[in-house]
Amino acid sequence: MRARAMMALLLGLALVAGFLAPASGGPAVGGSVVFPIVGDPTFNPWHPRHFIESIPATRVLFNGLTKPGKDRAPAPDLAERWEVSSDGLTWTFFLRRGVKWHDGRDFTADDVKFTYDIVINPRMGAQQAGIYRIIKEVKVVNPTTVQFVLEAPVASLAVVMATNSGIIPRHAFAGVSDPWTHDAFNKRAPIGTGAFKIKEYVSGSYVTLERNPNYFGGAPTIETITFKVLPDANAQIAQLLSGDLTLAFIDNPALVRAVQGRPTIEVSTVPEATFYNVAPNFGNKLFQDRRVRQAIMHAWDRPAMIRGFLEGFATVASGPISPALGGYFNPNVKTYDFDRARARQLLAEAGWQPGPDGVLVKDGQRFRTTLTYPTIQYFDSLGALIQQYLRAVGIEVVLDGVDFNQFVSQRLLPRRFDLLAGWWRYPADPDMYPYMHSSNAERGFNLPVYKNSQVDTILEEGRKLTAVRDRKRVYDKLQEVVAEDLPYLYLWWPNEIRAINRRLKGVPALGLRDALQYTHEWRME
Amino acid sequence: MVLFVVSTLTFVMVNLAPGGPAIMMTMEMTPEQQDALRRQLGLDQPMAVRFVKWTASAMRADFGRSFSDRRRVNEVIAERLPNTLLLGGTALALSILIGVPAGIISATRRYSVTDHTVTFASFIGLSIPVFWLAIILILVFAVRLDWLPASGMATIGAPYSLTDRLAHLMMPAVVLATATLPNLVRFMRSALIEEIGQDYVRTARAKGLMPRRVLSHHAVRNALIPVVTVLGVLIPRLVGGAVITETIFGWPGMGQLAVASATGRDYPMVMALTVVVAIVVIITNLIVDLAYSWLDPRITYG
Repeated sequence: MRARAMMALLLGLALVAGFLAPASGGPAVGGSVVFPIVGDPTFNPWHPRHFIESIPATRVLFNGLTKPGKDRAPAPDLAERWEVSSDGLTWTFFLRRGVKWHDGRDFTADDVKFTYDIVINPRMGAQQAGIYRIIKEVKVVNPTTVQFVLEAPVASLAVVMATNSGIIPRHAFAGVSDPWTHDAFNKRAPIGTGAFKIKEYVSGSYVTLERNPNYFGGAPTIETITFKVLPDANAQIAQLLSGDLTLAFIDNPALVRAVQGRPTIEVSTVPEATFYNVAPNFGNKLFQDRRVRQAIMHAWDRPAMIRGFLEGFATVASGPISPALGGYFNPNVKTYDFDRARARQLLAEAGWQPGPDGVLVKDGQRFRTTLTYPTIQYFDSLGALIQQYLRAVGIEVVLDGVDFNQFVSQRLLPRRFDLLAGWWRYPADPDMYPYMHSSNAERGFNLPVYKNSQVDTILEEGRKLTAVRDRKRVYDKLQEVVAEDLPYLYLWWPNEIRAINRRLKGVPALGLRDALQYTHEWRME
Repeated sequence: MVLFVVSTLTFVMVNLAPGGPAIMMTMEMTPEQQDALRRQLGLDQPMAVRFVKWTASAMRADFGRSFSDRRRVNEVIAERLPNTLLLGGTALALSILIGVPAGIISATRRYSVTDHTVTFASFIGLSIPVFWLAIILILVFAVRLDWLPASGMATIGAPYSLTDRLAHLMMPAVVLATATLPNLVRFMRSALIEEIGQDYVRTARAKGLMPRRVLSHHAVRNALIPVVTVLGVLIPRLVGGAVITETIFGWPGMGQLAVASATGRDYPMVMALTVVVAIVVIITNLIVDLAYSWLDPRITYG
């Protein structure tokens, strides 16, 4: 009797379920995803205030011409394909047809030109303008073809365009003289082409996006994505545990233990295209001797620092190009173990002899230098530790920790430092031109003011070549040279720590910001 | 006059602080970008010129645009101030409703078990770090028991409802009250103890008034004067925003805004926040003075 009742119930359930399932048999639409952000977002990817709190939302709302591919090569997005002229100076993008903005208007090449004209306009000071200043002109060939004319070849253009380079609609800015004060778009009702469109925004609290059923990449199955303003890292962890947040990255590795081993949360790591480093100022005579730079690389115990500050969530860096770049990463370069004897020997070869108090002396000059760092993350402790490591080989270090604002304005930009602890996060391409080429020494991102004609030649060649195999050869060489010559003193390549509720499926194995460009493939179970 | 002095001092101080607006201070910034932004924000003009311009528009209650997301400062403050008033007001009400009676009980039953309990509890409340208490409450009531929402002001996507708002308000208000309440208890207790020992209380008792009436009509009334003074100091602090509480509970109030603006060198926002808080200080002082004369008719102004 009971068994029969059970059977009837099951049958009934199966019937109901059958009716509820969509006729096509495709995945059911539903579920909401909640992701933390640290402040009020600005919904314009080029706004000078487009910082970390804005990136997650704009990655979903907008599309670039390209996007980060799952195979780490740039993948088509609003552009279906692209061609580069043989001199590398003209890039032609063939746009996807039939793409609609969230308000129903057609997306065309005019929107691309409108967007990049703002970016390359030196008076606008747009986000990333520094990277794109290489663009001389953007030409509309026809409504689905657009050409970029460059000042000099940049083979990585399609990679650079894959992140934080969303195309914005020309018609939404009609009659607007200053795009940065166009609050109706930037702060309230952005119009993009992305998989989700704006639904509700409560300043200071959250922004909810709803699925765009007309998305050109395929209709998403998730109903809504909410970005919740939650600046406190501990509170984020608590809400991951309570299920209020679906996914998050964990910035502070010390907090990983709280979520590791929980049945509802999966913790994974993805290598980042970032290198932490100490930049030696080549304007300072102390660091012009390569042996001194090599000695410092031997003087510190990087595996111990990674265990201490990063709970092991990083890899000792042998150069700027991280394993996140896949095939472009060259593991066969000079590496530096923690070896104080070797460090002292190198310093001795460079003419530095221990003085009476153990500090090295050369020609009556003590080896005394300053380490500048921003007082964020774990840099305070890092600075103190580096000070001790260097003191142990006879280098006296004075610490100069300053708040981030001053770090940039008073130290980094005017190059006013001896040693500068920091990091570079770069597009997923081995093009290190901005960080090492002599043309960027005084005014660009080449912080150490490093000038090496061999490195310059390699970097210029790498920008001209487009075939992956040729580029790999050139950048393999670059990695060998800069591991030996040390324009930067490499610390580590960090891993991004991702915590994702197990009910959420289909998140590609990319950094979470890049994975947000695939939200139409995400689904909730 | 007060407002003018306060705003002049603040203007000079924020402008002399090292660094510059955060939108100009990213590692990826080029000097060309910096120049462009400096011009857009009007920072290419000398400080005196900027101050005259700012004063002129501030007179018309227009505080300009934020240096960070370039929104109108007035709009942002209009969004944030009510949230802070709600949270601060609730915390204040909790503190007064619990703190004043607790102080009275404590003072009238001096050295009793109740007194010791109240004193002990207020010392605990005073010494618990806010961030720790907040996280513990979230872990217990949101993560473990799932009774209360962990953050925000309202359930995302749900229509406004009073119960929902109260549920969100509960934990941050308690945390905030925990910081202010002990102060009130301590002040109420010591002030009342002092009043009870006064001659006029003895006289009142001697002429045969009920002890309860002596307390409520004479002693407590006079003891409230120092308590009102403390409130005059506490209220502007609550309006300025409870930074830690707001940050942990994701409460979109003035505190979060103030910290972000100060670290981001968002001069117009810092200036506007300063003026708002200065106005609140002035109003609170006025109310406190009025309360004095109500509590003690001997105090008159004029």
